Amino acid sequence: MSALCKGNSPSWLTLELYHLGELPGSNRAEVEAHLDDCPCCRECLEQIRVDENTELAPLRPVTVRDKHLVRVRPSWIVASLAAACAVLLVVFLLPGGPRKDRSGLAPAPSRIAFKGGELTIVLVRERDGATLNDPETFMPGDRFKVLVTCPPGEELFWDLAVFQNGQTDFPLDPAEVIACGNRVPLPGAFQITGRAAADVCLLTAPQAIIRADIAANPERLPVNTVCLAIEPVLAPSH
Amino acid sequence: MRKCKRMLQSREDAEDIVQGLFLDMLKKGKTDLDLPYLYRAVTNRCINHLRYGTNRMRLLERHDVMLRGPVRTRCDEQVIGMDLLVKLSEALDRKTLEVLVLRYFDDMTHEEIASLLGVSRKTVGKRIGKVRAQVKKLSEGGDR
Repeated sequence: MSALCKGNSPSWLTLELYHLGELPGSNRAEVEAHLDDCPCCRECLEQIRVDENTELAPLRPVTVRDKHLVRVRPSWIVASLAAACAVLLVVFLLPGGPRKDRSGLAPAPSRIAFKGGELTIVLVRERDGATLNDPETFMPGDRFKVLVTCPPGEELFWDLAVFQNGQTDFPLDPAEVIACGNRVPLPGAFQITGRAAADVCLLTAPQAIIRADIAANPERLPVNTVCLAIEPVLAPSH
Repeated sequence: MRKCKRMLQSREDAEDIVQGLFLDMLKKGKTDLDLPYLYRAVTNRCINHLRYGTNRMRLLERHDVMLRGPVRTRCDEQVIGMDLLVKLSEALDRKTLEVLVLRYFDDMTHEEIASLLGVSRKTVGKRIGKVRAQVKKLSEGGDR
């Protein structure tokens, strides 16, 4: 570790502003004079320069195959189906009611009673600089984060699974347990590709979740699992 | 990002905090932000992060001291490393912690801190005094 600076060393913020060329002339000259005499501060500035082109880690895409493409239907049929689906959703999303998972996997509700409270997730989508809670659609380039609400004081083993076209992917790294609370963000973010609807499921358990078991038996999810469905924006034409 | 890494000494935690901050800023439509504002926002996020018991334990076990960078400001000759920071985060209130981070991790002067936080230098001095007293207490074994 470097020796302590002598004299009035510029703060990291000042060095950052100096590096960006945003310091006024007199302050700039002062910083330059200090840098000439201080190897420690030169090292700090060098660290800023080295870091210059480091970007945030890229988001890991969910890779699934496009086996079944969504058909484009005439608008009146779509409208009728939407109305029918709305009715079904109202029926099936009532507390305790089952939710039919569209990829044919095990039904899972979007919220469940859990240890004196409830376990629920919210998807946050970022698209072209705009964020949206509870999005219903995805398209290439969208980024997603997941917020979890569960009773404070609890700690959960977890994993996030994305089911699409009969494929399962695990886009986040569940290295650590969740410390429960209100809208706790899961570490990391992810993208969804493909042109089929997807189910994003938070799996929780009293012990670490084995991904191979989930991928091999997606119909047997842990009891404390909550899912959200999301549709692709663009349906391919035939 | 650099600031967050320096404080938490964990690249993964820093990335997550900064991504979360940018998402929230975008959500609020705030895109034209200056560096001092971002510094303060990141400081507060890092303090929140540190105050979660699970995060504290993980950072204690896995932090990378190399990410701390050159230590230029010490508290009465003591380097505030991860172990001490974790103890202080349990003992001090949020406002005092914010001053601690700006002074001992960002190497700001009392005047710079006062200007950034919009408080008087006297207030900054009082909060630094609380930090020093707590550091002294901990170093004398006052943390049980």
